[in-house]
Amino acid sequence: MNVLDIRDLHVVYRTSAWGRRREVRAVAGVDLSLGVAETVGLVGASGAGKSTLAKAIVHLVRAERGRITVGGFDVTGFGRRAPLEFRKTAQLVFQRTSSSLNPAMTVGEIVAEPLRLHFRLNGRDASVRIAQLLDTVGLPATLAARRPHELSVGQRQRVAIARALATEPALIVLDEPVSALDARTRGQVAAMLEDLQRRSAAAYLLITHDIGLARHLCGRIAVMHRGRVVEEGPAALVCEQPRHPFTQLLVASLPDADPARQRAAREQRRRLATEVAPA
Amino acid sequence: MTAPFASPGWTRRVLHDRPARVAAAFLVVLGLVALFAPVLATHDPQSGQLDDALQEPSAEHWLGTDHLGRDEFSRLVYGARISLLAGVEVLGIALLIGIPVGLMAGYRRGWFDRIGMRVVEVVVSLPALVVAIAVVAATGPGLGPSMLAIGFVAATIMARLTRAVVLAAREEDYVDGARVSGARDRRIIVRHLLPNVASALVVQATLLFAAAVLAEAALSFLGLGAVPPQPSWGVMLNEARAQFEEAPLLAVWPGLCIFLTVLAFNQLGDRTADVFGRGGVAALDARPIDPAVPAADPAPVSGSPPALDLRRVSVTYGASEVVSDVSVSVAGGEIVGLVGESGAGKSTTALAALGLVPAPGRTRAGSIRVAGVELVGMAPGELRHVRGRRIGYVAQEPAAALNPAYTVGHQFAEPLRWHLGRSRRQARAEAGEWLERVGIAPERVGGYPHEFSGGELQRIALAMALACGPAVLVADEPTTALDAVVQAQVLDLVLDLRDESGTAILLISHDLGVVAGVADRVAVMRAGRIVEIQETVALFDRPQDPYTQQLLAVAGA
Repeated sequence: MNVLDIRDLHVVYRTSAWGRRREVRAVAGVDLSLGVAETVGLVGASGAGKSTLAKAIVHLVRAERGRITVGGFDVTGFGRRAPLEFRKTAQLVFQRTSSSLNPAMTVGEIVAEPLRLHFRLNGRDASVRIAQLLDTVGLPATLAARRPHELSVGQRQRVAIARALATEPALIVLDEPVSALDARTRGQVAAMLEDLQRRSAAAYLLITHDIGLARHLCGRIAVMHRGRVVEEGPAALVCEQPRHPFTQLLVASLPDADPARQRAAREQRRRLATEVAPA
Repeated sequence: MTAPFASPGWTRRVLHDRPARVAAAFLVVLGLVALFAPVLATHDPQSGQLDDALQEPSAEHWLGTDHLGRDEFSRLVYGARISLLAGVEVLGIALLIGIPVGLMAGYRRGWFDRIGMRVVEVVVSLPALVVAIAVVAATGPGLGPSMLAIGFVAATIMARLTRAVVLAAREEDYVDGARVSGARDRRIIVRHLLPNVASALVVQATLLFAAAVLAEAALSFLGLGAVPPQPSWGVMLNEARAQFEEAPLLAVWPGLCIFLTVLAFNQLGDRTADVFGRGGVAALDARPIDPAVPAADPAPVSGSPPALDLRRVSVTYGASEVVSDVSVSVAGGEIVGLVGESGAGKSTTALAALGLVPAPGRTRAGSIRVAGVELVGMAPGELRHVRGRRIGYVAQEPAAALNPAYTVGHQFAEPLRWHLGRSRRQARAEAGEWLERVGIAPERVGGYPHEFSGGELQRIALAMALACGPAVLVADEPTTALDAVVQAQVLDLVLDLRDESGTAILLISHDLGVVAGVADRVAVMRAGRIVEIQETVALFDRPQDPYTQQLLAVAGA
């Protein structure tokens, strides 16, 4: 059985200001599945609806139509409040570490929160587990007493990942987990994720605009464009023989540390940009 | 910069501020006086001998006596009690009603928010004193009912503020993060929202306390609050009115007490607010250039004099030096990339070039020249004419550069009118032309920032920075917040604009891939220092510094 099944999902944002109503269809008919312990990359430009899809999966936004099931839970059938058992099953790691960790709490308190809520772990038992979790993401246990603003961006993202791991979830959605990091830190966190995914039983949905990263970490890649999945397949195939023009543009936009290759890619981008309307 | 009231330890930071410390000390003393009034008072504040009326200050009566022979000092001491009690009552009501209502309205929204806020709007539009007078008209004079009325009005003010700060805090990802962790609403409100909005509420509470003290004095003065013989400062002021000819000092003492108390509360509130949102720009200090030390940066590629020339620039924050002795120059039409990891001092170097290092940082520089003009030692007013006109700046977050309340065209026109003296119509026409040049339909010039995508906003920010024809453009991570496709488009645009205008560009990025594609030369920065500076192709082929080699190895992986 799949850990995640999405069928014909639509998510619509409605705003009204001064009586003027507007609708934005952020997700417009997405189908996607994740098997047990599988890692899939969801790649697309900003505004493609990737983050909305992530929020819908963990029940932070409601679907307009369609169905999401996560580990046997019918997410689209939940009311305002999702059951605690579901919160244990699915976790989300946010992109912005400056915002995703409560600045008024210590690292220890942040990681302790799910432990207290799901396993009723307190005091010594909790601190032992916190130290374990921090160790899993490559951080020293002494960091537990610090507050988020005292940490580097990379360390903060590791703390966020430790918090997600704390509930021992079956599915972890990573929303641009490394795009706010500099190249070196990005490499380190990516290596940690790779290691994590090999050791843990969780399935990972990696959301990113960096198709190179997705290729590196994922077996399968789905490309999202304007609220839809426009291409899906084995990572190597999607990167080397992209079929959809938007996927081709993504591949041609990869930053490259070779000045000569970059100038060639510039020409290709100009050609493709006329084929694909910008998102 | 993170949210001003988010960081903990703020009480310590507030008390670090001298005026705030003085005000706080005064209020602590006042509180103690009120608490120990029976011990401190030398006489009964409510009774006296008529024979002793209107005495001058003496050893027996330190501040003299009033028209009924009561001891002025003792009455002032007990008056502190009444003032502070009034404040506590008002604040208590404001906090107990205002904060829960504001939290519920801001967090849950829906019908509670809609109805609650309409009620609040109605109450806020009524002057508090008038409401109090109306209540007193119904109940008869007395401190209790009048302060109840003031407290109710204060509660609506508190509710509105609480709702506003909660609405802002609710957008933070940690609230969603807590929900994903399994936290229920109550826990999210108490553990996650309240601590992060507390400091804003503290500021408001302090100011409300001052308003309550003032309202008590005013109502008592009018005979609607505390009534004689109660020793309220307002009552004393009113009674002193009749004796003003014979004993003017009797009006001075309660007046001074009211004045100092309100001043102390307001001062504490204002300084606290200042500490949370402290800003300002540090001065650019000159430092002598030692001719014996050669410049680290060799001459730029072309023979022309550099458009931007930084010589021996250092920036310190307290004891730590975040930029150490950096020298770099950019020729006209040249793009120099400044790369390094986060925390290497790249952005601070950029701000130093603009003379915009935020206080309490300190910039010391041998020389900062923009198009031949020396910025070091320049007056802040003159610097304003250089920024925007001779040197443009693009930041990482395009949204940060644009004010959401004004149209793009309006914001475009502002620098054109200010620096180049264009007319309103001319400036608007030029704005449209610029939009077209960066690939946005010129009709959208009347649009507001939220109507544009992130990539479009960054292209607009770029156009705005170049609109006044600056000799130098400083671009700090201009594409980091953008996705790969849009990043490539913006970088292509940077190259096109450079080719057209011959602007010198200092491009800051942590991404070697970005720099490799567009820069002519690359400077590698680490821990505040430039460790290597070379032509791009040479740097990628033959990196000299071991740190550069490491960076390249990571980027190539």
